[in-house]
Amino acid sequence: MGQGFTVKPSVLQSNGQGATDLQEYCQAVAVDAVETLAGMASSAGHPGLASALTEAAGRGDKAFSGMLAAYGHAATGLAASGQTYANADQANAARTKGVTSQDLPFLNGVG
Amino acid sequence: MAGGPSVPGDPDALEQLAGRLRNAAQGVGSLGSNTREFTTGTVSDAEWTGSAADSFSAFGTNLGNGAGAAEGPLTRMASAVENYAGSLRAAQQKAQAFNSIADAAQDDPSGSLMSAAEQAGQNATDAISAMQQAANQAASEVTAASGELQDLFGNGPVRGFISSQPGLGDDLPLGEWTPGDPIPADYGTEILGNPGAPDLGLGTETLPPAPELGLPQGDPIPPELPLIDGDPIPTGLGPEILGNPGSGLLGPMINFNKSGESGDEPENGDGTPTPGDDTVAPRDVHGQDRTGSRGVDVPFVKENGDLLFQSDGQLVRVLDNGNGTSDVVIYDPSNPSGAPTTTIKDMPESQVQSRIDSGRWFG
Repeated sequence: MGQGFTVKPSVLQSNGQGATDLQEYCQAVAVDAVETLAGMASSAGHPGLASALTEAAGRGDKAFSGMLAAYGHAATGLAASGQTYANADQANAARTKGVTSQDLPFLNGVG
Repeated sequence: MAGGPSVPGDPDALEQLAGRLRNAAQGVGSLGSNTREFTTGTVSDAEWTGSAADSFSAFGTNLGNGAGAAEGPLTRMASAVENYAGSLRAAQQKAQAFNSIADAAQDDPSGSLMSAAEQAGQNATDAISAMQQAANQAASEVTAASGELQDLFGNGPVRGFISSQPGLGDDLPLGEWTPGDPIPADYGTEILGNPGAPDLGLGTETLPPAPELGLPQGDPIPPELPLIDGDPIPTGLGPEILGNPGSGLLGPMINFNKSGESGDEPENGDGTPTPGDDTVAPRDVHGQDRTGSRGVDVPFVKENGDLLFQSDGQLVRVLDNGNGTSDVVIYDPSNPSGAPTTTIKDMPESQVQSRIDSGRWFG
């Protein structure tokens, strides 16, 4: 009935940076793509196509904004998850320190 | 020549930009595969298991798929513009040729160039017409592709991810965001539909209390254990481990409450008790023992039942009766009396499993 869980908090925390790296790469690509579409609109020489390209730049902007937000969400989520796991470990350790031999009679006389 | 046909546009620049857009498209393709690898690697390297890890895997995979799917629309837009650039160049060349011949014909008193000029004029007209058609076609293709691009994250992988989760919301504002806008504070909850994330359970997942303390497997640290002076249990320890405070911060990736379930409510999600479940109302969390007449042997169940954690930080003991039902005792470990807040006699296994599946109980 019970479920087992494991995790290495430090890996999650460090991989939060990995997600940030992906986000930064995404942003670089996004800027390139959107600027390129806008540049195409300027060079098109045809009103209809220029309008379509301008609209595409705007849509791309929105799409990449959502994508960037999702990467940011992954980055902060991973870091926060790792921190919470780490906090739980520390709290657990603190609680362990609070147990004395008095509380565990079977340890009396040991050590 | 004054008054000759003029065809605006810069085909060289368009072709150069199309190449750049194609590179950007390949970039998002790589981003997609890298994201999927990153997701898999993170879960693997962290040896992360459980519902939170599953949630992150799903989120990251969908994000990677969505990013990778942007490659197609961007590539199609690049191709459409490249095709148009070719027509534009041809039209400009034909127009220029006509202008040159027309200039020469104008200066030729013999009139021998007039026929050539007329032919060049027709060629230019045809080329410009073809260019117009190419432009219209490119515009249609660009519009269609940009719509696909917008749908990827306005209605795409994240939204698809949501729709794959029972009961989660469908009205994401992702497509409404504009560049530079901050991520909404409730972004994660919008994505995964778990405001408050009371059942996050992160702390509980990491809690390996018994083995480290040498206590029986799965047992919580008895609340009556005294502390060493000067080393008190932190104020937030209890909820941190058993009740997942701050879960709103982490919930997005991890918690998947069904719509209407806060983790504190009964499973019918309407805020009223589920029939047969004598869960104590929130205001009675530390209330009286109501078990006497219900036939649950509380000490026996607490001693022999399987230990689970409830999302509100209480402990749950479930004793299998061997007939498809279980006796359940729910109690607050911080209550020195040890008296249960809730007991359930002969709870069907399906209901027990339902609570586990929903994340209301975990362990």
